[in-house]
Amino acid sequence: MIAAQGMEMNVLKKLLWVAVAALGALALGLIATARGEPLNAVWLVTAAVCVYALAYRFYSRFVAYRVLGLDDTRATPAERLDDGRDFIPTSKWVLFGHHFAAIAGPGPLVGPILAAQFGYLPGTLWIVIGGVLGGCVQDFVTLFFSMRRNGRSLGQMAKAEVSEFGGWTALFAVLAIMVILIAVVALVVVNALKSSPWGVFTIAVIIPVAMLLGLYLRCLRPGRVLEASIFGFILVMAGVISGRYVAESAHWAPFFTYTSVALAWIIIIYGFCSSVLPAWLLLAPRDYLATFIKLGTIMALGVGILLAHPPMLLPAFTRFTDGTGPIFAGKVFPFCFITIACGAISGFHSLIASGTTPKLITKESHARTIGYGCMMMESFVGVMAMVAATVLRPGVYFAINSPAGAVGLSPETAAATISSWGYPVTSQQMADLAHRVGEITLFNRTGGAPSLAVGMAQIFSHTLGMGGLEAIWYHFAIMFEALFILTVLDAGTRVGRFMLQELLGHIAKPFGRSGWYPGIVLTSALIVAAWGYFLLGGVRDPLGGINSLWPLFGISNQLLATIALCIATTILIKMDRRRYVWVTLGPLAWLVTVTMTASYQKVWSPNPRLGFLAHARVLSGQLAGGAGPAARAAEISRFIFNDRLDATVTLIFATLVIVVLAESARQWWLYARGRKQCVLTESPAELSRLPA
Amino acid sequence: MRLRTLFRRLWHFIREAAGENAYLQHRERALAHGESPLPPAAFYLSGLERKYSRPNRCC
Repeated sequence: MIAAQGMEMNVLKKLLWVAVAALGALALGLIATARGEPLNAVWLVTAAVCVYALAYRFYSRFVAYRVLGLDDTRATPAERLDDGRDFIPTSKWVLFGHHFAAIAGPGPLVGPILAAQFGYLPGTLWIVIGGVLGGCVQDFVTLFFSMRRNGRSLGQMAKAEVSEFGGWTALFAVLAIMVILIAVVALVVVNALKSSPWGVFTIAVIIPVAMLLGLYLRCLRPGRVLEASIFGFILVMAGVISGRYVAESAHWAPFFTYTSVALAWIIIIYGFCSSVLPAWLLLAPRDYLATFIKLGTIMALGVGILLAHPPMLLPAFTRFTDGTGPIFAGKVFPFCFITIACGAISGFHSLIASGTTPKLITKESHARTIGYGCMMMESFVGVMAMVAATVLRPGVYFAINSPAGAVGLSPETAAATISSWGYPVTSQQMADLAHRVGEITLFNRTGGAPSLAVGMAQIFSHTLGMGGLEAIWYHFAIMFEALFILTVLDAGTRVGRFMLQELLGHIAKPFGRSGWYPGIVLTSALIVAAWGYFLLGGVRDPLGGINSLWPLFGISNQLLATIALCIATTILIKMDRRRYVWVTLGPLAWLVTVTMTASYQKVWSPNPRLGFLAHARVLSGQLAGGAGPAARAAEISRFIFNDRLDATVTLIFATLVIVVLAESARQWWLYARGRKQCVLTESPAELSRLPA
Repeated sequence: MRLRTLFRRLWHFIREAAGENAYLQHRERALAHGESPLPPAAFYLSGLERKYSRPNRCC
């Protein structure tokens, strides 16, 4: 009787999975073949959810038990080394929340918005398929391997498992990615806030609120994060709402209206101050606020999409798959896969997965839920961002995201250019939209954040039936994006400063002391100067900055992913799991192909919109032909220098990819030929005493 | 009754996720090991120092 019931359950389970597969195939088929009539966004969400469910149930299980051999009878470092500080056995779902909050930044929101210039299909397929076969696997295996090594960092694992050189490359890659990452996210904030007194006021309110919370948490009620965050959220929302009155006031609006260059300088000064101030005063309380608002808004966006089930107005493919897109230059291959890094596969995650999280895992099986599951969630955030882009009319989407250098400076010229591409829009429509969301203009607002905010505002106001509050929702969305972008900026600058202090400590001992104040100031200034330089170059770029900086960010991020996957493949070979190396080798091969192709095109393409050197040549020609006044000539000389610098940085990243790959391949060959003994650096196994 | 239990568990989870129970756990652990626990403010600051000295927020 019991056996029969068990069989019945098995059959029911199998039928359920067959149904999920069939529904997913139907949804994927619909979104891949739909032409003409707008398809409902629910199909996009359904396809993604079905793929995630199947991938988690089957593929992650295969990786967990066949490839890695997760073993719950083996004690994790959190159990063996429990010290109540770094190593603490932590509840699976609490750790899931912490890990997700750590990996989910602005990347999965901004990348898909930018990649929507190719249409919704290429980006969505990459987010979903790249996510489950690449990003989730990278995060999961890195987390697992780090956990088996007492929570070693990526650099330490590279040193121990690949070679000393691999370790140094990882360290350099982390510093480089930090600089480019901060510059590019800061550029997104600048473009979202330029000439927007309401937006600037909202963000300006956050800083004193955060400091107030910092003092509260430090002096009055240490560690009472919840009550402080609720209090802070109320104040921040008051700032969002009262921003309208500031923007409408002839007296106050000029105090909060800035050009992009002025905003860039404000952010640079802010980044420096935040790095030299104690973490408890500004960084930590702002991070708490950002985390709660981020998680809440992402959940609200998911619910909003389901309730509003909006039609997708952007086509599956646009004419810009041929590489002539106004937002960034380059064909759908490789640039769709560089533009969407976070959301599909992000090398930066390997730093998070090899840090705090592996020291807190209670049972080995939790690594699957946390490593694979959290990345799947982030991938889903990317899908939601894509939906937010697709609810905009294509003409509106391109009007917001195209730089003046590509469509013209005046609203009429920009609208006429975009309409001539087959995506009709008028300057009046854009003016009405800008008025509805409380902005002066929405033309040339590159960077992705404003169009995401418009999309989110439409979804929220439609869901809640409060069309009149579109301006509040828009500025709430801008605040939500800026808040955690600033957290990345703060935290990244601080970590960069720590790394630089450690490096300089090898040269002059006092720098090695993390509390030595002259060292803190100098290293903070160096890190801020590095990303500040790229930021200023980006805001002055006539092509909008995103065109040059975002691909650099994508390439540097994928460099880090290459390192992580090389380490993972090396460890799999050492573990004698050679027949399963395709699990990491597949995504690695794809990433190397994409990164190398994109790097080659960004440096050597003869198209001046795409190739850095071709652009520098065009500008040199202008300079030689007489560029007009001295100030203009100096500006052109600076653009030429920036182009050459960007080309050099890209070449360095590409060289590092080749070097890491060659070094890893050499090790694999030595192991395969038996010329080197496979020595794993895993901690010895101990029997777990904790209940499952 | 079930609803109350559900809310209690949810509240406990949120407090745990926000790290509000961390000091209590540190105190219990220290006392159990015969060590003197850190004062709440010092414990809070040491946690922040560990958290923000390595990559902990991604792109």
